[in-house]
Amino acid sequence: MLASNNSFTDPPLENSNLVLGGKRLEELSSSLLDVPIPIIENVVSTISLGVPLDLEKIALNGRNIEYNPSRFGAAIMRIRNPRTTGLIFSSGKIVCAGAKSEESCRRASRKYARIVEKLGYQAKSVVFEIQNIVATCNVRFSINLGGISFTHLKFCTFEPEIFPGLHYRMLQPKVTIVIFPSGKLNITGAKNKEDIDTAFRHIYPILRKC
Amino acid sequence: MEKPNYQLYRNTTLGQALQKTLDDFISEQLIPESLSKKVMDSFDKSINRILPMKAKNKVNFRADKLRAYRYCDNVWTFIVEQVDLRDAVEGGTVARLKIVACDGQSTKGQLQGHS
Repeated sequence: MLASNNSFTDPPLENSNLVLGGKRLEELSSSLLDVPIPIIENVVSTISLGVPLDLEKIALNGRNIEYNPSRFGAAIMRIRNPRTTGLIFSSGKIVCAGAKSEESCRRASRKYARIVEKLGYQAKSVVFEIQNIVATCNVRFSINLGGISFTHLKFCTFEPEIFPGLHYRMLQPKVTIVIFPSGKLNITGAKNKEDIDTAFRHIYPILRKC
Repeated sequence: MEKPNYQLYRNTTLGQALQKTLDDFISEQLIPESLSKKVMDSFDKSINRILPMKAKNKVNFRADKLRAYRYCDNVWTFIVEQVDLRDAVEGGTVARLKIVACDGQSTKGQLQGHS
């Protein structure tokens, strides 16, 4: 049953990709050959419990927590799996950073919420939202940044005497890409993984041309 | 700035013995409770002053794993596992060690351990 279902849905999908045009096919085949794919390095999310928290109490009763209000207003908690850092604020908001995927970030946020609940708080609402995704990529050819900053003047800020990378502010999707002459890229500001992939698909031909 | 007098050394053998003696005195009504408090405060003050100067013996330890840590109210707490403790004379391994460390406001930190 399952197998027949797969064989029924899979080929048309592939076909529709092919039908989309020769250019698409070309891109697809080149991606199979040597176009790298961006790797997600960090996912930052927030979760709001909707109740005020006593951080002192949380820091004294929980484990793996640092709380130094004279230095930083939030309690810093770390968990081992997924290896992330959580910032717990007295407003009841928790920022989770350091996850390597959207899914693991979600799991980590849930864990932080559960830990805080176990320390004696009843969460009123749990609103999870991804704030930022950072990805890196190495296109493995050197890039002439001067050329890009000249041809894409409106989107670029490039001052080699201040910083060797070129900041490319893409509008659709709204991300910032830092491009280095070595061929390494940082893509940041995305809210989901698709933004990263679309942004890379947009920027890759531009880099190729220069 | 005045160095704070931590009460953490009350949990040492010396501190516990002193506390017990004072408690005995109170129960026999030889001294009032207020005096016992004063003596313990004086003990805190003295041991905080003396330990950094007089105690010379060192203990090295090396742990396999940091199980948990905490930093709150300027106190670090570590729970480490499989600790190899070693001083000049002898050594041994304990399964778990809790380390409580306060800011000594000098180059030497003040440490206390329970196994």
